[in-house]
Amino acid sequence: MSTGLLASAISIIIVCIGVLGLILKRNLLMKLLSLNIVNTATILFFVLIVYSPGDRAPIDPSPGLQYADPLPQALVLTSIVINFGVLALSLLFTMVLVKRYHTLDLIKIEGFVKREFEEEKS
Amino acid sequence: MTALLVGVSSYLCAGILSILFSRYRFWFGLIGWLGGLTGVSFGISSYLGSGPLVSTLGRWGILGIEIVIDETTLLFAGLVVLLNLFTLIYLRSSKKGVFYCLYNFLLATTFSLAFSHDLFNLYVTIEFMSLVSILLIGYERKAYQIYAGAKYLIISSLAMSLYLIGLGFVYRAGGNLGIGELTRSLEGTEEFSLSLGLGLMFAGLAVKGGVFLFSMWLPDAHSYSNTVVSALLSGMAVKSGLIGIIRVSEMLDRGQLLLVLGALTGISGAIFALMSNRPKKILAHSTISQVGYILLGIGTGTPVGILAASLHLFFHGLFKALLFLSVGAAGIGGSNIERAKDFSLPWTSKIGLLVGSVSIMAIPPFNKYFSKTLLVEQVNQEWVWFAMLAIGFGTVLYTLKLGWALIFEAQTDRAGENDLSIVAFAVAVGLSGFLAWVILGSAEVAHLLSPHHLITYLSIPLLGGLALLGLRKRLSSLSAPYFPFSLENSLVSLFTGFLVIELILFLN
Repeated sequence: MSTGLLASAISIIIVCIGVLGLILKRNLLMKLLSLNIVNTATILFFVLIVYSPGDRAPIDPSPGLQYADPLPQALVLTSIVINFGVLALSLLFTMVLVKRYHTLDLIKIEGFVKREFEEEKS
Repeated sequence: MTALLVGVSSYLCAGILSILFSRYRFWFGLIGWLGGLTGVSFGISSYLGSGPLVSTLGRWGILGIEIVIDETTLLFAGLVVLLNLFTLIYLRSSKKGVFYCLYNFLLATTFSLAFSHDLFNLYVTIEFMSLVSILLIGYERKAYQIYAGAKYLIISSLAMSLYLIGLGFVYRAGGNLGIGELTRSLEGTEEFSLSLGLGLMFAGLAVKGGVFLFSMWLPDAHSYSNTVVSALLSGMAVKSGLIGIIRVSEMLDRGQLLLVLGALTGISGAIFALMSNRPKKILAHSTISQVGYILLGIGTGTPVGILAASLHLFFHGLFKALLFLSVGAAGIGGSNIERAKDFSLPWTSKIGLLVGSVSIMAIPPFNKYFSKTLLVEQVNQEWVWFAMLAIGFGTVLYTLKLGWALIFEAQTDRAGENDLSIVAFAVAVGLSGFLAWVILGSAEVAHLLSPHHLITYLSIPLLGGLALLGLRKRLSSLSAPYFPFSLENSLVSLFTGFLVIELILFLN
């Protein structure tokens, strides 16, 4: 079994776990945690697919060695930063919602929000 | 390259300066707009000089980031600059410096997205754009806005993770990230992992692009946010995903998939728009419905089809922003139109609504007629033609429902000081039909305006009007169900949509 296939299999399984959590959990914080699992699995996927020609670090100049691909790791840095931003912002939003409604239950929050909007506009 | 750098850097500078020296925020916004305009003019002069051009940023050969200047780029960048001008005049100095900062950042990211021709660059610009637009959605800190923003954030973050995994698969198959290079290296490869990766990328972009089943966050986010924000989101932020889809289809053509998604999106968006009864909700669902046309245009796969899709994207941005601004200026965006007799709209809003409604119904010589007729011309399968007619019919019905209530039933009020900008915008939208003549050339426009076409496409609005007269009572008592748009169900439908994409990709 090639490393690439194993990598994609492992990370896709973790993504599926995250997506399941995202769909099944009613708690907003748990949803954010599941989202973070999906994002981290994506990063894992990128870290694992670099071993396609070889597994050496691309710093040794001697010929004949099979190097790991450096580009995906550069991409991963960007996406880690973006994920950090997303997590910070979503926690902020959760904080505002919890301060206002004193619950993390999404279905309750949805009901409150809808009622409030209709009251304000009528 | 100059075009991109001038535009993006001036928007970024305007954003940073307007938070530092917030007294002069309007003037910084104007300077940013001038920079954007200069960028677009550079782009147009380069396009007229050497035609469509793909070049590489940086001196690393194929490792550099590809940028592109073609019709789609110029139309989208032009749309950004036009919307910037009219929303800036509408805003004057009514918001704080922070709002102007985010506003300019949104423009910077959408502007740079127009030029990007690299899969990872698309990811970064789209993700940055959605972070900024989420901050703008929650800007007034009302609970429903925060909730709509959180919903958008969760769904779009999941979508961009899917996109990134898809990008990994495509990178492994093609060994590059630039779309021009990938097109060459992927020629003729048919692998399982490539197909899976492409499906994942389409799913991610479809969430951003307002495709039905994927973009169930859209109606809430677009209808709960501030007027200017709604106009910008519907006008250009949604288009970012569609630009991404256009670029990915350049690389690997999956026309059948886009045709199916387009027909589904267009028809279901129109049905939901018809069932809603708050003006901003109707407009938000209408955005989904119009995205259907654009997808159908991309799905035809011909260069003229993609040009028609870009043209439709441009025109839709203009008239939808006008409709949102007119409704928002009157302050009735969230009210139920069953009580339209109690509303009082300034006459400027009524003019804006009139021009916008006539445009969206595709009545010549208003702008949408040209793009839509060009799209219908490109269709080579019969069922797509019928789907387009159905979308057109639905569009006419919900536009008449909205326009009738707001223009004829509501009372007319005096205009405020800010509202005159809407009239200027309405005139610009009304005149934008001439752009079709500039872009397509007089022979094509004369062909589109031939009696055969006029009779075929004017009969749809007429039929729609007749149907509405009969159904008015029934239509006003309808109400759209909310459950498809709650967070959990939109996640489930995103997953279903992804399975549908994979199914279609494997069946072909």
